[in-house]
Amino acid sequence: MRSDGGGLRRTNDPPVLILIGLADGPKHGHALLKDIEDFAGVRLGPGALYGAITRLEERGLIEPLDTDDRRRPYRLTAAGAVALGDALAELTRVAEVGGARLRAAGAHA
Amino acid sequence: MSAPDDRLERLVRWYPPRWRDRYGDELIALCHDVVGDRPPSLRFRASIAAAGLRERAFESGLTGRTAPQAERTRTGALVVLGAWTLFVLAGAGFAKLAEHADTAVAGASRWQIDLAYTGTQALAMIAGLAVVAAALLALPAFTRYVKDGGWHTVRVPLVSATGATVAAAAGGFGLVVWARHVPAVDREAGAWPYGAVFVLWAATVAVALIAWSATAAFTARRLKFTARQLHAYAALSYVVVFAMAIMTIAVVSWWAVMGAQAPWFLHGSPPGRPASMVDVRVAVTIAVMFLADGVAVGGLGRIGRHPLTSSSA
Repeated sequence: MRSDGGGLRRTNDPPVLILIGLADGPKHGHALLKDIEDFAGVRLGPGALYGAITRLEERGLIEPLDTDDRRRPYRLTAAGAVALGDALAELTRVAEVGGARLRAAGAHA
Repeated sequence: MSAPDDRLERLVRWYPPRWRDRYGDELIALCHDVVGDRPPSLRFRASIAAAGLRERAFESGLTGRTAPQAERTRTGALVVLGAWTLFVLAGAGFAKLAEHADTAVAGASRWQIDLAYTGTQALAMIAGLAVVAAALLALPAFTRYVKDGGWHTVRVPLVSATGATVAAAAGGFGLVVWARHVPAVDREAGAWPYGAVFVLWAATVAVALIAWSATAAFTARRLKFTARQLHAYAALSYVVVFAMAIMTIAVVSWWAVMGAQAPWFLHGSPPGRPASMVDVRVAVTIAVMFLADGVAVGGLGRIGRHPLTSSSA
């Protein structure tokens, strides 16, 4: 049974969420907001989204695509894919440790 | 442009111009997608304003590590200037409080009072000279900026600060002239109406000081400094912060001695009357000094140990 998280914050680091959002292809801002809300349950505001996009682009982890539309799509760069892989590996490691400890505690209970 | 877009465009002005040039249209389009044709809610507007201010802080080097080190050095020095302004306001309060304190303490403790007070004065002079040196150092860059057509940008804050200074000077002159006709006992006690006019004049001086500090920050953000100049600003910032820290220690020491030897003086009571060493005015003065010290140390944190990695800003 899934709980509501007990008030704990799930993974909601906007840069990581954006990189995950772009992992399956380019998206513009609004598509990213909807996608992030769908897969993470996190509702980012436009200010938070573009703050994170600015930092990610500065670090070369994402790049804008040419468009005549004001809704400019972004895509993951090779460096962004590597950074996302590292971040997810770290999250996975932490999740595995947490899961293992929970299972061990359950076995002793 | 439609009315909703017009509203959103105004909202995006919270962001710095360079950021708006790059991302402004995209953000407006996204905001439009999110709010539609409805007027943006107060919460939405607040979130955009906060994000815009955060972006300004990033761009100026006030936060984060993305701004060039030269920009962070400039911002750090300006933070120190702001802290120094706050410290001067508190220091002026201390100077008024400590007036004639040496006459209230006799014997072995008197030298401590004298040392704390004259030490504070000397350090204030040193820090003040450092600030003046910083202003003089900016003159060549300021002259270039004005020659290149920047006068219209800095005219309003400069004229405002000058106006505030003239008002403070005129008020001070008038106060001195008037003071000759006010009995000394009324002056010392701050009796009505002299006391009220004095407070008003002090407020005018504070406004002038704040106006110059804000003008300096506004102007310095637009000037081009060489690496050598930025190194000098970093060094002067360290001098000012060091002086502020020692002055704070001196004022706390002064308070401790006065509280132990002549607590009645802190409350303006007659000599010898029992009184607590805790006085609200002294406590607030010292609290503001500590606050200014904290802000100044934050400014030094932006400058860091290696104030520059690029040749110009």
